[in-house]
Amino acid sequence: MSESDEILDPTPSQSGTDESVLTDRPATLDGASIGLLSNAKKNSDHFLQSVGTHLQSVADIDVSDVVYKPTATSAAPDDIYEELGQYDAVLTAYGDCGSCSSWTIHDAIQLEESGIPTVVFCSEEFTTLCQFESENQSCPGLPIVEFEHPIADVAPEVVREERVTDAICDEVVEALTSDPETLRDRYGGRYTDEV
Amino acid sequence: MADVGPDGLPVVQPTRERVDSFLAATDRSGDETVGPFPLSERTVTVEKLAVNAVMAGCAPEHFPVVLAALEASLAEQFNLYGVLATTEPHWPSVVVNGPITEEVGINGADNAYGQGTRANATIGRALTLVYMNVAGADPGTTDMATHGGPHKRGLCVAENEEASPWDPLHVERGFDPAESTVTVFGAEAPHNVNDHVADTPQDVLTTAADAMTALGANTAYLTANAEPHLVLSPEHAATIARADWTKTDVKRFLYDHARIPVERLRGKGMDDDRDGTRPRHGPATDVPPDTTVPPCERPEDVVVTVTGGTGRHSLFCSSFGDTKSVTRRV
Repeated sequence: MSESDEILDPTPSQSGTDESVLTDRPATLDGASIGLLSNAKKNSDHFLQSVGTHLQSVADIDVSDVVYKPTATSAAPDDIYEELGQYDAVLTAYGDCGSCSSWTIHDAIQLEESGIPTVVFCSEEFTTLCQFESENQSCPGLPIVEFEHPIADVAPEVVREERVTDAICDEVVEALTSDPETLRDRYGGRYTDEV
Repeated sequence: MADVGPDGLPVVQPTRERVDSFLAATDRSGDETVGPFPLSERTVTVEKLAVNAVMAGCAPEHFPVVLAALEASLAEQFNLYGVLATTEPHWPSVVVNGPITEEVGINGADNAYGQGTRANATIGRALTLVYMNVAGADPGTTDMATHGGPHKRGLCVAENEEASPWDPLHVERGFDPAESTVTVFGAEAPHNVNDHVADTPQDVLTTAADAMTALGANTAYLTANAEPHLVLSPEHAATIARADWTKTDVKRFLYDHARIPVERLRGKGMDDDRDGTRPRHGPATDVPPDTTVPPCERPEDVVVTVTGGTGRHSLFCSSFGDTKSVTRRV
């Protein structure tokens, strides 16, 4: 091919980073305090409270009241990050639409960067988006725990009794007590590899 | 290189010669970088953006407009991170002002939002290709739009400054009339405002205000950052201006009248009043029950432009809500 026939590529040549901002986790949750961050999407607070109750049945932990950010479609304000900084770990819910998934991942990465182990809850329909973003923001091992979609049109008791499963709660405990390397193995490419 | 772009339409092959001709049309070096683009967080060269503009079918002289619009959409207040990923049908759309509209043939008159003009069709498409190829917005995996919309193939128009009785958008935002600018909006596809009867500002704008108060629109709920955008036709604008109304008067009227009674909002759309524990979106949270909710925080947040040709139709472009439009010099 001559130089004049050269066809250029419209996609980025830059490769992804190997860095990870995932923070270290404690070996056990006993004695830990856990903050709950809701993006105010429907049922997200019931989901978080139910997970918190489950966790208290398996570990000696304190769970916060639900902290709400004002809108799901942008980042939590700095004062919310500061408030959550008092906890040993944070659970945030959730990604169940496009922009709210993006900004939930953003919030989680801000918390990880400030040294707070964080778990993101995400509808099974939005996990690929969430992981794509976490990988591209240097956090490939960010624990993204999926739940059944849709969740906005079910009653709070259905959320508590059916959607928050034992498997989800077990996964949260693992995600908050495993080292970053293990989490990277567990979550790296988990939802993006099949695309 | 595939013959079909990620948007589903055939592409122009981005040869070295074509890409170089696009770079020659700007005063920017091909090695300069732009980004990072969410969702991929990739930063790319100006040359890479030119490759996408070639593929979209742009002419070289369109590339400076493409470049300015892309850079405008990266401003923090635009919230491209949310706009590209959202299940809503919102997408960056472009309004161009100043002499460049005539120089490169951007239509602001008859059927400006429709087909028929290369610059309008391809400048918007170039943005879409960059958001797909560079930002990684892929329908169904990372661009999660439930339906999307025709404007996502690319939307770019000029303001019809000659036919406007008021200062155009860029002058309103502090630019000189002789400067050229792009303004990007995180907008829905436009909705028609038909009024063949009204002969006063109040009547034209009452019809428009009604179109702006649909419960399903994001701006009904996410009002804190909303910029509801009314695109007046020259004829509607003339009717309003004949009564010596300024653009400020238009914005004030819309702010006062494009309102939804708060009780209509409760329990619908994005206002979850089920158990009263979580915050609701927008000012509906704090207003008393017998009041009405304006479409944005302040009257000046209403955006009014004049575009279109003959006819007594205007357009309402609802915004993503959590986005601010951004104006940049070309």
